[in-house]
Amino acid sequence: MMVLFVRRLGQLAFVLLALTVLIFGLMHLSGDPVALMAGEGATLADIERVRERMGFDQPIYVQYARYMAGLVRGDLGTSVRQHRPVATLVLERVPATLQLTILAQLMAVVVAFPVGVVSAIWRNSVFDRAAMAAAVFAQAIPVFWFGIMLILVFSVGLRWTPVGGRTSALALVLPVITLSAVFVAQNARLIRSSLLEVLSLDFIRTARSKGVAERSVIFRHAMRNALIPVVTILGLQFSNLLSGAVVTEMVFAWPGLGRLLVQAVLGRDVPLVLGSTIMIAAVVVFINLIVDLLYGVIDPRVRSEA
Amino acid sequence: MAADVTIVSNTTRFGRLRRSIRDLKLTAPVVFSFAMLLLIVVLALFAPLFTRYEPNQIELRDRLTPPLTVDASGDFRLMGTDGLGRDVWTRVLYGARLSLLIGLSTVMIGGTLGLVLGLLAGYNGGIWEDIIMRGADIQIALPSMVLYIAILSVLGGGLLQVILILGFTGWVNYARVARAQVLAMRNQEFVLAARSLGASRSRVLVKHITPNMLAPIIVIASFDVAKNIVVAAALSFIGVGIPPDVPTWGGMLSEARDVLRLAWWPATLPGVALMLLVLSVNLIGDWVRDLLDPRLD
Repeated sequence: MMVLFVRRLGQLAFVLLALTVLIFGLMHLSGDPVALMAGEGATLADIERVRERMGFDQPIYVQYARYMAGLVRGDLGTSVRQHRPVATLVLERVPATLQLTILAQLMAVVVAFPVGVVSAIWRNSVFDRAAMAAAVFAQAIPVFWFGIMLILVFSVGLRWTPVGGRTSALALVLPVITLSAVFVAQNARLIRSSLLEVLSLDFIRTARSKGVAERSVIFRHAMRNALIPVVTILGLQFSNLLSGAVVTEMVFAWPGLGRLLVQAVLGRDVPLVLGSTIMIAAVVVFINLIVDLLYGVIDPRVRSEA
Repeated sequence: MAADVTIVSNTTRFGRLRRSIRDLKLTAPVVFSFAMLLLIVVLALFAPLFTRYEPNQIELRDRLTPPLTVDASGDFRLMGTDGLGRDVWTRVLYGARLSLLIGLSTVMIGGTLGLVLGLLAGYNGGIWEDIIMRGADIQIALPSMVLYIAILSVLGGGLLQVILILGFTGWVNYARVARAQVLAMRNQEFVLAARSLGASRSRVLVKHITPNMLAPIIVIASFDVAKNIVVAAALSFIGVGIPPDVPTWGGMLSEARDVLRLAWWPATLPGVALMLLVLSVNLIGDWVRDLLDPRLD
């Protein structure tokens, strides 16, 4: 437990180190970050003022050392456009992104689970074929296009839901459906194939020949084992879920971290780009820790190792 | 008598051919996918032959003409026109070129890089392996979209930038598979035989090990083509990828949002094209995987 926690913390440190080195290195290679931030039409005096204020007149390693020293203290610098601490701006956006991604993840499990299980039990039935065909389609639909289509039908056409923003509970419906669709499909296919594989194993035949009720065979004997690969994928999925969230937030003007990041990029706000990227990386590592702990609950073999 | 013999041998040859075709498991969805992909490739390659408009030709008089109708100038518009009066069908055709270019070039870069790094990690071990595999772990821990956006924020948007970023960050899966395959093959007899005959390290890797691991690499590559096409479209859609003066499917969808209340077609039709392309490539990927590895499913 403690070992796991320390290992994950080490992973976070590694990720942050690699990320900041990469961004600082690229910034250095790509020319003058200050000119980039000041934008077109800035005078030389403007540029020099920004340069001194941001500490960009220092050599790159001094800048990097300063940035990392700030990071350790929770200071991510100041936004060039919004003139507020990056840490505050970033933290404000975390709840919206977590709300969207966690609900989508929940939906991806709650919908996919029964579909996958029923498809496996009634293999090659009409339900199984229809569900798996739908899953193949859902996996091919680009997230952002699916979102636009939902807006077109339910917001513009039927006027049931708002077009965007985080105004009411109703405003959550379309973004969550948009984001989760691909993962519902992925998980349903995975749960089906995982359960089918376990159901073909010897200990299931043993259970059946002992006369264990079919319901018990599936839910007590097979399911627990079938869940192990599923939970592993769920952990890996969260990173992809956040990728999808960036795009979904842009479609629905959802005020989360992804939208903050894109706006920072479009506004050439380098400290904000770095800050929101680092925050997203931290969220991923934190969620992975939770998944690791969940893993121990399902698979006793992991618990004894840790 | 002689005639009989010919007939028999013909049927067996025909039977053999039929059996090998059956072994290919060409189901209806697979045939559909190949046909669709072929159609998209032909349309993209010969785009100018299938339209009389330029992709960036603005005709404000004809703006927002619905699909399958005649515009204000009296011309028929297959997919209608967008908010600036540009021909949607033409832009879809030219957008297909970019999508295919991005899908193929990024996978070639990522696949080659991943293969080389995976071979290096698997065969050499030691510090190389540590660095390469640790790098893979770090990259996987970060949401890919965030990584692309962060890098694009520094390099700026553009076709070349998008191809290079998707290409050079696309190495992880190939490297992992290549390394695992090398580890599995390193001490097999055919490798030991080659080495004992005095084959150099690079010869063993290139001539003996690589050809034996191409199957899983091809499977990953086919799914990556589809994935990278969608990611590039998403980057254009959110405004950090390829700039809007180049007709891309993602860029078209982004612009179509501004006229969503007035017109459904500029937002719908490029997306249908994107979905059909991704669906075909994915189904072909599934098919290749089933052919190469019958154990799955």
